[in-house]
Amino acid sequence: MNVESYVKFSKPFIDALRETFKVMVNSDITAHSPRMKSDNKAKGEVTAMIGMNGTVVKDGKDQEFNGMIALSFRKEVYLKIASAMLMQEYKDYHEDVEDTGSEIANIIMGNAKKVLATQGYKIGMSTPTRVKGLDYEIKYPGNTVVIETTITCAHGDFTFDICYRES
Amino acid sequence: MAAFNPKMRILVVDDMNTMRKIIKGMLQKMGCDNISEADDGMPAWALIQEAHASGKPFEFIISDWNMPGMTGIDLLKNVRSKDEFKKVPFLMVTAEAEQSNVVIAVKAGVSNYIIKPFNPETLKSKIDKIFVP
Repeated sequence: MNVESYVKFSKPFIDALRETFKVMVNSDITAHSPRMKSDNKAKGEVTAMIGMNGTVVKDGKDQEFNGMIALSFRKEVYLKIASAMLMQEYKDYHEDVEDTGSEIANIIMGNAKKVLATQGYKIGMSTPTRVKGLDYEIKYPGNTVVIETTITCAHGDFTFDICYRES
Repeated sequence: MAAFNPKMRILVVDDMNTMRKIIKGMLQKMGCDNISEADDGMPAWALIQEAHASGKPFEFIISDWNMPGMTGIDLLKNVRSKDEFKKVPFLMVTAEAEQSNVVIAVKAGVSNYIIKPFNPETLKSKIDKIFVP
C-alpha cells in the first residue's frame, strides 16, 4: 500500500477514534505523525485488538484483504480512560474495565467500516481480544505493514496500530 | 406507548462488561434502579422468559447487536415471535452504523436503534422516542 492509499484507508479509523473519545471519554485527541512499526511489541500493559478481512473493488475486480487495529495503553492511562468512560474512578484493574479497550476497538472498527464501505470495502470484523503485559508480542496478520501512531488524549498517550495487506 | 417510567424493569444485554456498566450508569442517572444484566442473547432470552413466568416481566430491553452466542437481532426475533413479548420496547445498540443493519433491525421489529459511540443525552433521546406518551 502506498502512502496515499494508507492515508485514505486509515483516516476513517482515526476519525472514529476521535469521535469515540469526544463522545464517550469527553476528550479531544491529537494523532501524531504515523510511522512504520519495526517490531511487534505492544507499547503498553493493556492492548486491545480486532481483526478485519474482506474484499475491496480495485480496477473493477474484487481484491481480498486482511488487517488489524490494535490500541496499546500504559496501565495508568488505561485506567484514567476507563474511569472517564464508565463515569466512575478505577485505580486498579477491575472486571468492569477488563474489556474497555476492546469496546473502544470495536466501536472504532464498526464506525470505520461504514465509511470504508463507501470506498468499496466490504469488511468483516472479528471479535475483539485484549491482553495484559508489557512487551507482549502482537500477532499481526502475516506480511502486513504495521503503521503505528501515537495518540495524545486528556489522560495521556497511547499507541494506535493499523495493519493492512491485499492478497 | 406509555411514558417512560424510571421504575420499570429493564434488561441490559451486552457481552462487554464495559458497555453494560456504561448503559447502566446512564440509566441510573435517569433515575432507573430496577436494572438486570445479561452477557449474551442466550441468557437474556432465558431471563426474559423467567421474569415473565414469575409475574415480573421486563418492560424494556436494551441489547447489543454483536454478541458471540445469540446475537441481539436473534434475541429480538425470539422476543417478537411470542405474543406475550411482542410489545416489549426493544432498543438495539450497535457499533456497526451501516444503513442495511438499520433496515434489518426495523424489519425484525426493533423499537429504536442507537449507534456507538453515544452519550447520556443521545441515549435519553432514543428512549424518549420509544416511550412517546
